[in-house]
Amino acid sequence: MTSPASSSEVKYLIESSEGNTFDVSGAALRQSNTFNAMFLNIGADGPIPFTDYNEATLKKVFEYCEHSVNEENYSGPKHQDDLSKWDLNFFNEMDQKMFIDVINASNFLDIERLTSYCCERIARMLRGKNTQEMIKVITLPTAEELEAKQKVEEKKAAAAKKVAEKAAETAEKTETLEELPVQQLVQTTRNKLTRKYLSFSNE
Amino acid sequence: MEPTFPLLRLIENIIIEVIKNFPLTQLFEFSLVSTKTKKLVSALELKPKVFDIIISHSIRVNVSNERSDLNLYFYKDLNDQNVLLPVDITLPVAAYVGYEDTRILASPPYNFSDWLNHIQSVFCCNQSPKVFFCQGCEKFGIESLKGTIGNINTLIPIDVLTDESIRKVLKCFNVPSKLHLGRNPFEEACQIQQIFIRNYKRIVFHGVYSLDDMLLINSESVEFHHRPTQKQCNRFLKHWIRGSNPRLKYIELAIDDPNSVSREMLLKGIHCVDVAGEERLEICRKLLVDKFILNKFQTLSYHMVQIRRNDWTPAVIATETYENNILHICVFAVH
Repeated sequence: MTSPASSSEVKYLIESSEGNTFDVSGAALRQSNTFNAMFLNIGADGPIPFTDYNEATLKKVFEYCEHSVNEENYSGPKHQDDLSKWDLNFFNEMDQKMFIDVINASNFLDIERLTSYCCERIARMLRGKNTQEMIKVITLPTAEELEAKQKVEEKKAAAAKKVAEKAAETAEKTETLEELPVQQLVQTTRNKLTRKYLSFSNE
Repeated sequence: MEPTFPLLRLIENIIIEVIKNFPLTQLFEFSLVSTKTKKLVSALELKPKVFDIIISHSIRVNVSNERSDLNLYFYKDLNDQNVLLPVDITLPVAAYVGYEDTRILASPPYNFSDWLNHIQSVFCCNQSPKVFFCQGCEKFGIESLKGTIGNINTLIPIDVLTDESIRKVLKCFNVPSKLHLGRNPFEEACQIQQIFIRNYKRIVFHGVYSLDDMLLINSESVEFHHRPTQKQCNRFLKHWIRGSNPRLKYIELAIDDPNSVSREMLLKGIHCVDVAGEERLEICRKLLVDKFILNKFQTLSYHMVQIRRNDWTPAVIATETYENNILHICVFAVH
C-alpha cells in the first residue's frame, strides 16, 4: 500500500522479517535498483515485503537512502577520506553484526552507493596487511581448529545416531503393542492361557 | 588485538566488490590466503597490461595495470658470497613484495614455476611475458628458465650480457613475438641474418647492418637504431617498392650524414605524392601499426609522401629533419 505524503512525494510501506511495517519515501526507495526493477513501474499493492531482513537493518539502510536523497547522482565509489561527518557517524555507530546485515541488505536492494562505501570500508580494514595478517583478520579457521571442529561434529553425529536408534527401537516396541486392537489382545492372552492350561492337564 | 571481520562468509559478489578496492600487491597476498580467495581474485579477470620478468642476479616479476603495480622479487636473499653460484630454480623459494622486503611464503612452499603459474592464474595473464635477460642471469640456467617460463612475448637480452649468453638466450627462446637486440652477438654475418629472417611481429636492432641484412628482414615492424647512409636507405626503399620484405609494414630509421641530409636524396628515383592536411590524418587513422606510432604522426610535424608498391599496396614515407643532419624516416604500408 502506498500513502501519499505530499502531492509530489509518495511513501511506500516496507515489511520486515518480523512482519512489522514502516514507511519510506519514494525518493529514498528509488536508490534501490531492485525496487526500481520490481515495483517502480507496476506499483506496490500493499506493503513491499523485504522479509529476509529485520526491521532494524532495513531502517538503517533506508536512513542512509533518505539522507543521500539530495546528494548528487552516484558516480562511482568515493574514497573513505571524502566521506562526510554524517556518513562516518552512520558507519561508526554500527556494530559488526549490524554492519554485515546492512551490507547484505544493501546488496540485495542494489543500492550502489551504500554497498560501495561498505565494501571500501572493509577493504580499508585489510589495507596493507600481508597474507598471515589477513588470515587473522578474516578469521579463517586454522587446520587444528578445523580438525577439532570436525571431531566435535563427528561426536555430535554419533550421539545423535545413538539417540535416533534408541528412539526408533522404543517406538517399534510401543507400536507392536499399540497396533493390536483390544479384543485381539484379549484373545491372544486367552489363547496363551489355554495353551498353558492344556500343557498342565497333559502332564 | 587486531579486529576481525568474517569477510569470507559474505556473499561472493560482496567479497568481489571489496577486493576490487585492493591494489595488485594486496590482491596477490589475498590470493594466497586460501583456494577460495585465489578463485575470487581470478574472478576479477584483471588481465594486466604489463607482465614482465627481469632476470639478473635475482628475478623480478612485474605486473601492472592502470591503477597499481606488483613487483615480486625472487632469490633476493642470496648473499654476496654465493651470488655467482648456480641456482636450482626447481627448489622452493620465497617471494619478496615491493621495496619493503616483505617476505611471502606459500603453503605448501612454491618454487619459481609455481609462483609464475599462480601469478598468471590469479591475474589472468593471457599474454606471454616480456622477458629481460640482464647481467647475472646465467646462474639460473638459460635452459631451466626456458623450461619454467615457457613461451614469451618479447625477448630483451640486454647489452651487458656476453655474446655467448646472448646467443644462448636467442637459441633457447627462439620464437618470441618481439625481439630487442642491442648488438650483433655473432661472428659470422650469416648468423645475424638467420635472426632477421625470423617472422617476428617487431624487431628492434641497435647493431650494424648491411643492405643485404635489411632485405632479409621478415618482421612486420622494424626499428633500426644504427644509422644507414642515404644511398643505402634509398636503395632499400626501391627494393621494397619492387616487392622485397613482403611482411614488412613499418620501418623506422635515422640517417646521420655530416654532409647534410635531404629528403630529395632519400626519395631520388621514387615516384611519390605529397600528403597533407585531412588526407594525412585519414592515412594515420588507417594505419595498422601500434597506437603509439599513430599518435607520433598526429603530434609531430612529419613531412609525408605517399608511394605505391608494385603490388599496388599504398604506403607512406614520413620524414623529419633534426639539426639539419639527421633525417628520421618512417615507412609504413597503408591498408
